Amino acid sequence: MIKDNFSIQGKGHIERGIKCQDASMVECISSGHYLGIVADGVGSAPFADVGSTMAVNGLFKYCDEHITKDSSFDDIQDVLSEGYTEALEQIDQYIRERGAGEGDCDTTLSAVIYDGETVVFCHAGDGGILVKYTDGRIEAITTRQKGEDGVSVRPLRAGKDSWDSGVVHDAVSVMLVTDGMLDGVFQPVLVNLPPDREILATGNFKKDQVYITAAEFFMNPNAVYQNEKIKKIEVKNNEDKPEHVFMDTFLQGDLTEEDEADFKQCILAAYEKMMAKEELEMVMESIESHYYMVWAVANIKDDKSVVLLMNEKSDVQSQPVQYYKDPNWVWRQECYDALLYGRPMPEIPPDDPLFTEDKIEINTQDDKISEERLDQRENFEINGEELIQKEDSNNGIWRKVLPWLLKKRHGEGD
Amino acid sequence: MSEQLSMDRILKDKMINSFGEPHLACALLLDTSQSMGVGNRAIDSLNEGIKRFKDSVTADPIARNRVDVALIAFNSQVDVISDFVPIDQMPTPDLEADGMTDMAQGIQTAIDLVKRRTNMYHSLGTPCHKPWIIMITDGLSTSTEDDMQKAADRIHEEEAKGSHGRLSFWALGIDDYDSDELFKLTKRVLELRDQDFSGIFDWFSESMACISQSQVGEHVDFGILPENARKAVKDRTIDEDWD
Repeated sequence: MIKDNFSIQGKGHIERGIKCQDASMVECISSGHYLGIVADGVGSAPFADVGSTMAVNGLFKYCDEHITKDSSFDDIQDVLSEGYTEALEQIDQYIRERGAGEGDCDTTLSAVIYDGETVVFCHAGDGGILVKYTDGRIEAITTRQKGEDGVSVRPLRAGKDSWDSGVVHDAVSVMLVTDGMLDGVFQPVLVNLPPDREILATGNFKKDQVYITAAEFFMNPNAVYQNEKIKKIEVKNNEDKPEHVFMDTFLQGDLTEEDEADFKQCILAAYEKMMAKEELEMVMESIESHYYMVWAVANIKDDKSVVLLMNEKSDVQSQPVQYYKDPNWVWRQECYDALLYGRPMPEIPPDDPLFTEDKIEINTQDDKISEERLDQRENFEINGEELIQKEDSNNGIWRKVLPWLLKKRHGEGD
Repeated sequence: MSEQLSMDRILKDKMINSFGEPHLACALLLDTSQSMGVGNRAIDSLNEGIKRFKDSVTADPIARNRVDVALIAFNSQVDVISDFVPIDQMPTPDLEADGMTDMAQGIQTAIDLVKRRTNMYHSLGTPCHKPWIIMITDGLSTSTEDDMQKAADRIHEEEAKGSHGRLSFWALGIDDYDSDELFKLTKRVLELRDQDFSGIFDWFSESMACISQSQVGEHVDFGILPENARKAVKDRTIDEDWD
């Protein structure tokens, strides 16, 4: 089993003298299961770093003591939930003893127990857990838990009814990340654009697509951890734990053109056994056009936490080659600008692997939900209908353009 | 040793622009009632001031990429002249003065637009500063008392949300403006003498530039107001609690 974890102070926090408020851990516990935990102290909480550290340590101790070799997946799920409660109680006690405010130690908390095949997870907050399956798919198994305003986070303190938990099988890798990495790298806005401005304004659209190149970089053992061609791969020992210098440097985000070359090397190593030479060249060409992943990591201001567990002995199939191509970033950037500023949407390019008609159907469903939600949103109570109608008549955007574009794509349009 | 990748180089070379940069939404809410056209001086100066505001903010390379502006005019009716656009694409209309002063409806429309804008930023994961609404008026509202109270309540509600508020509402009164009415709306009341908007729009553009270059949530000190403008009390330096 390959396991690693990083919690790195964000550039924004360094500039403002704020310590890293993330905490993480990955260990093999007494039962032989692997436990990965990540916590992100809520920025507005004065003791966020204390909260995240206590949550990680409290949950680890509880799981280590209560999960046994014979525990069923249901048992483990119960223990995780109890561990969350225990960690929350420890934080509450800390707050009471110091006379601090109720939310002063607020933190997110995401955790997995992994046996090399099955992931049992529990999740609170706006971070995420990604799983790579034996068929090669990579998906997020959690959703961001946000407050009603779409901005604030529902922390661990939101309680058991708010926590999400479950079991997934056929997992060859699992990764836990805090929101900075999730929103900036693994599920960035450009791969999760809404279909029109109306839905954009409500925020009620799916953000579940994963940027596969980034996910493979971390979750494919051949990319970094078993890649002997990367010269910077060293494992040094310090007092705490072995530290993966290459990955640590990469996540620090002070990246150079040399890092772009190393990144390319990693992706080549990850994919070279998965596809034919011509296919590999096509995929690499799409990635090298922007090195979006390198840009994205360098651009994150928030603290960055990543916890990795990979069963390197698993047999993994590959998805069709299109799955591994980078999106058409320029087109997606144009879509972003069009959505934000009400410009006509650009035509759908033939080379964007993430754009599918299925995606539209999903968002059409979201549209119905969003209209129900509009009535509940305070900002649309007054003149909301009039405002939205005006928006539609002015811009049209995807709702009206998409059917025409799709016909055109299928050769039916003029 | 390679040089560290500069964001400018990446953005320029790779054609992915600054979608991750923090944005600042600013709605200009402009009174175009008949009284603004008396002698054509105020409305003409306002038209010039808007052009000057656009030019000043656009001249700042950072602010240009981060400030989005909407234009809303109100008299007997409310007219959204322009929804939010980047400052360099903001239209500079030749406003004409006519009609009554439905201030309450203008305020409600401006708040709707600003909140919608903020929701868009949040949905796209775009960091954003607290939005500004700058209302410029010269006279008494002709909205009903009840409607004005609802508008005031909504401003107060938005300004009180969260730890730092979700809106900064500014009111600039000119000539015989009703200070009592504006103070019911906000504490950020400025008054302008002699109908010359050039200095105050310079001040607004400098403030926009300062905010746009700050960290989201960071306190920003505003500059000294121009000679012909002042806070609607004696002190001409903006208090810290105005941010």
